[in-house]
Amino acid sequence: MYGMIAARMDRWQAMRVFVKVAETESFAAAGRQMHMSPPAVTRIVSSLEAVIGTRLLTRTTRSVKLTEAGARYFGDCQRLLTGLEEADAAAAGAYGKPTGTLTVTASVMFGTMFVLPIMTEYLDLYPEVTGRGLFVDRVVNIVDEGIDVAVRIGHLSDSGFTATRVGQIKRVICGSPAYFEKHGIPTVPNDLARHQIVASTSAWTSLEWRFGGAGKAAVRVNPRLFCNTNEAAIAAAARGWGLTRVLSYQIAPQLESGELQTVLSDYDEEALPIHVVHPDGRYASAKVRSFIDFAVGKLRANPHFS
Amino acid sequence: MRRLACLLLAESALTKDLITPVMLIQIELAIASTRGDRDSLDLLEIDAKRMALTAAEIDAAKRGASFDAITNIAIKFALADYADDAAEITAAKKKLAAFGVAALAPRLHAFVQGLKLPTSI
Repeated sequence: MYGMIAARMDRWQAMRVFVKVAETESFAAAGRQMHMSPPAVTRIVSSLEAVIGTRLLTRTTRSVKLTEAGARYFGDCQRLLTGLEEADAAAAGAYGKPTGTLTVTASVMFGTMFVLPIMTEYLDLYPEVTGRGLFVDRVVNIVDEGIDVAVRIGHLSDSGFTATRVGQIKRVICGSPAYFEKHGIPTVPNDLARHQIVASTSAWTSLEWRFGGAGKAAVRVNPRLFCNTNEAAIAAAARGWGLTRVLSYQIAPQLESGELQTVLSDYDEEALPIHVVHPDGRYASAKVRSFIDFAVGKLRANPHFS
Repeated sequence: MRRLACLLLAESALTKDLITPVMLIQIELAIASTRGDRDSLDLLEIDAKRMALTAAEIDAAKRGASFDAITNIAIKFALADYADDAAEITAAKKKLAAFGVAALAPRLHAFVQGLKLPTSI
């Protein structure tokens, strides 16, 4: 009985080796990636061909190519191996204990203000998980950069990833009460021409400020101060120097304290959704599942997003 | 004279636009909160959420404030007017004037009077 199971395990392993050879078109490269010697790789593939009773690969001195039967078998093996991995992951995710490294990405400010506190609280609950926060203002490739969970702001492209909506935010124009007392309040977008503007030059900012509402206007602003971070632009606005445009969450503490106030709220653009995204679907590992459950609950409870 | 009339007409149109349903519901939330009127607050919160106000904005209104600069001072004026607090009314009117929206005051006053509960039936 054990021998039969072992034989089946060998068959899975042989299929993995064959798939790797087909992908790399090299016995040596496949061996390197699978930590095996080239003769061992060759022997396994030959055994597989013997069991199946047909040639899967054409070997030349310079390359390895799939035969017609090999190409069909390659596709079937890929499907079977993916299914096997998914079944293993699903079982581990459903019943397993969260362990390993959890990599979470978000934009710099959102990550620092909202994701980091959730991560630290989560890590306290699950001591066998190590956290890695990747907070950057650029689009991170979830698969290439090995991301487990991403928090995305804005409308999602059709990626095939699993996304859970946790709230929404708006782009807002803000200034300090002292600034408004000195310079008045803009009541229509075109009023911005006579105000001092601070602009952030970090990612996703434009000098053409678009507005929603009935008119759906767009106003090109002429900032007198450019800052390379949102934090600096917000600090300048809070000092009463001028108006800046940011995402509402970025000034949540200053709005609560009254240090900053928003203007032109009737011209707000359509709100931007916030999603928690992960690439593993229902086959997510225990650490990913538990973190998503935890983070979704916390983010949805935030009064600035709901 | 004609120029002054044009300016007044323009300000009247402007203030009409500035008093929006979103501003009015925040004023209603603030006044209902000072009254401790739980039933009204529940209904107003549902309407406020329909208008896409966040929970934080609703909480601020219930504390008598707004994240929006004009709505914030409009709420201060409305609360003072509702309480017939002459000193606070004067202070809020000064602020409205400083922000360039003095003409909001009479319109807000009319709205607040409509919210006052009748003293006798």
